[in-house]
Amino acid sequence: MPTGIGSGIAGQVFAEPPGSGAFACPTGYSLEFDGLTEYGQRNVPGNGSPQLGIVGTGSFTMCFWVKAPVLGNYYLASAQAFPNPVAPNVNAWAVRWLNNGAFSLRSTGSAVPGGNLAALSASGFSANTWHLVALVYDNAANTVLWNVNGVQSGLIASTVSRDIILGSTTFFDLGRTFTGGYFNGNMCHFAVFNQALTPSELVELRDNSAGKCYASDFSFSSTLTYYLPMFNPSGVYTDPLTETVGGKDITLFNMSATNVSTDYPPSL
Amino acid sequence: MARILSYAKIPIANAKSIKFAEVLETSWDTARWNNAATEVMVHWEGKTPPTIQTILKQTGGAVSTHSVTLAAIDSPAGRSTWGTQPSPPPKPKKK
Repeated sequence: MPTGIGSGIAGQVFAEPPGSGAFACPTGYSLEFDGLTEYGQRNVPGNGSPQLGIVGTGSFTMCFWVKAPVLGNYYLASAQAFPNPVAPNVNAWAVRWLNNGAFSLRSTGSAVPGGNLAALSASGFSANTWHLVALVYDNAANTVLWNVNGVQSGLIASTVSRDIILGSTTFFDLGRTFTGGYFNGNMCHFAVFNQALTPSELVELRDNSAGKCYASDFSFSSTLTYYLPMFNPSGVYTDPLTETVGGKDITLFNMSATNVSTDYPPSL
Repeated sequence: MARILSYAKIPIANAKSIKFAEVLETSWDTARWNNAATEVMVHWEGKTPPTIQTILKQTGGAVSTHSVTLAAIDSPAGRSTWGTQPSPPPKPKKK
């Protein structure tokens, strides 16, 4: 497999043209949700959701591709502890795509003001367009921010008062939350890295037309800690949905092979 | 290729007749129920499954498209009827 600089022949090195498929993980598919009944859920005590950052307090980036035919009040991913833990262990967190096109993350479970993690992107991220959405938490700089399509979006929030521990919760829902908020749209490449990715690194993910694998072909691949390729690159429907790093597979409910969509981000 | 999905709402009294192998819902317990847990939503692709046809004849219910169902659920009336996610009701015991 190429190392990322091109294919060498008799000592020559060529740049790979976009879309050449030089790497083993080309994108051709996404997971489609109907916004009414379809969702994924993992229910394993203390091992359902991804842990966000080393021991739940370190730097992390949670990123995914998403597209919706219309905007709505969507819960893209949500985690819930059960039973309720003692503060500052996380009670719940959710990533939402709001009616105004903004992305939001909120956690609950801290007992102190400013102890939770919260961030809101700019509004206006439109329907019918694929977006690479990333939440970037940097525990050295004490900041959390959204980056959408490789560009910082919204304000950088200070996290100097943060004490929440974002460990793995029992329940993890994809495409809804416990009380509804069903997502109508497509999603692929849901990943968590145990580092704060830079804008240029997120641009690498955005422009990955060569089909680099998240787990091996990027300079930051070693910090990948959770990854749902969502039927890429094979296009084969699997239930449970495969989580390739830690085996935290997600059971799909009210779905079938028809949920494998051939709609995928055009820059991939 | 875009999916062409169809939806129906089935009263609990008839829901025990649903053959979940014929619809995309995984089971009674994982299907979406209305707020009062008196009606369940099922969906499928292609022709209406035979058991759903039979149930709809009995109940006078109708098949609706994805877009119509979405609009109905997202309306104020729809949100007040379907906007929460109750626990599924106990499945009626077979007589």
